[in-house]
Amino acid sequence: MPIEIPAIEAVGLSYVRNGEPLFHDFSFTVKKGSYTAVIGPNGGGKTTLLRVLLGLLSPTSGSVHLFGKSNTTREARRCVGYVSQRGGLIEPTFPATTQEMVTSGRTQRLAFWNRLGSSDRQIVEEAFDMMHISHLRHRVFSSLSGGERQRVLLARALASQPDLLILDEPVDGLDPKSREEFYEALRHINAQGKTILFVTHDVHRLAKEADSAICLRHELVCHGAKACLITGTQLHDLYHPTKSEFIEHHG
Amino acid sequence: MSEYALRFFMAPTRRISSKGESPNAIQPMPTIFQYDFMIRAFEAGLILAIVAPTIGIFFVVRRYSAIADTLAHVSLSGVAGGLFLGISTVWSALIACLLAILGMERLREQRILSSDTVVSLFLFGGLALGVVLIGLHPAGGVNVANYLFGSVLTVSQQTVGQIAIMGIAVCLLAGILWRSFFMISLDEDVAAAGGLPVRFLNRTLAVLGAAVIAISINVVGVLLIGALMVIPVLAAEQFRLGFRSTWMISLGLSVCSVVFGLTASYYVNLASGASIVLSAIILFLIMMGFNKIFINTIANTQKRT
Repeated sequence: MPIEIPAIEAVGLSYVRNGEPLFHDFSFTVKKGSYTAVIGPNGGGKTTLLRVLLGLLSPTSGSVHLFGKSNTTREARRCVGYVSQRGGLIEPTFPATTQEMVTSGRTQRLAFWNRLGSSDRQIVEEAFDMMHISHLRHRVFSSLSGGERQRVLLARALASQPDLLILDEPVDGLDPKSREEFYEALRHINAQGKTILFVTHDVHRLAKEADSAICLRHELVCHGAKACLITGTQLHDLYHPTKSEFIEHHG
Repeated sequence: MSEYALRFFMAPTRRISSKGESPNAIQPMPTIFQYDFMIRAFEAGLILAIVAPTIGIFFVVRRYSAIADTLAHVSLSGVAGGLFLGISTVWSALIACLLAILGMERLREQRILSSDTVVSLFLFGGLALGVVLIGLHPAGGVNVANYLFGSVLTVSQQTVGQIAIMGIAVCLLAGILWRSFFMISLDEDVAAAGGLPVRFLNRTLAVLGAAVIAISINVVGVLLIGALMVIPVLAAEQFRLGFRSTWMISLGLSVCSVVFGLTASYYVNLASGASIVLSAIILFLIMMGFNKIFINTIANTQKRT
């Protein structure tokens, strides 16, 4: 029986910042087509882990492979769609329409000199339809509500036809209705066979949405199917450090 | 056009052609174009009007205007070097800017100094070095003001040719890399996560910025270059449109600034570079007023309904 290549394979990952380890020597795999949540307390290293997986930060030690290829290669990165927290580095007044934003998702799939073809436009249209944002296409991004923006950013990621979607607290700051709509869209995307890895604070959401989880607090507290996690003692360990650990981290 | 405006721009004084036309056939010809130096000034100015916002828009949306300004000041050192070595000041300014880009990046990577400190050192150091070097020029008699504030009316045909070559090259490269520049301007992290070579693209954009500055020296001068890269884009941003529309409006405003500025400098005998920049600022204020009166009113009406 052939061995299936995992979507993400992290081996011996450590990351040290300013002499302080954010996480230390842990390994995990994320299966293709899975829907995985990364949970943990604030400052536990979730966003740093995501940035290491994306190749935006180099790990102090260890390696990351995406679909069997090192995450430092362009070939591996082209398979990834990334949705950052609250629009990430986008300037609030950036002059771009929704159409321009979503179309820009095709850039990572094209050579510099290639122009957008009819197939590219078709893919962009599909991303618009999937996220139900066709009515917003002529609106300027900065004029959209938080929920609409996140849908546009997800549509942009989808326009790059990713095999793996990585999302950093994608619903942070959204109202409950927008959250539900966003998660519904993610479920739909996952049902199409795309692997999803998302960071969340919301343990209840993990229980409802994901099929597996990575629990992180400076080290890998646990990793596996969510059923094992939410019924065990790991969640307690994750969010309730012992007195000695608390003093070690907070003084 | 009113009779007054016609008299202002046109004067029936020059024969257009000598091929079989009656010697008495007199065509109206704008007086401003009777002089070769004005034609060259318009050629150089209009090339710059297209190139400056094309690259400037990426600096503005990323809030990197200070870097454009720094390179502009450094370019004076390049001009001084060119005068010393007897080579074209357009090319020597370009080389100085490229060296400054590499130097600034290296200092930032070493993290010995903060970004602000690095930018300030190069900005003031470049300007001071340029002024000192020009003062030491063996032939003497170099007018620093020409380089600080521009002297588009004195550009030679050769300089116009260099400006045209560099302008075409900048536009071609910008066209090829447009989508990638848009991506890194929007969100570098997402661009890098998607496999775009962000560092290469950042350097290329800085090189194109340096090229724009090199060709701008003669038109608006070192102290005012940044203005032509930035102000038309800021004015276009008032309309709150998409990226492409903002760029196209900024092109229009930039061309208008050059035409108004040069026309004013010819007829009212004003400094050409400063007139161009003042025209750009006036257009910016008009756009701001337009935005405040019309666009906000429309938005409020839509909200109420």
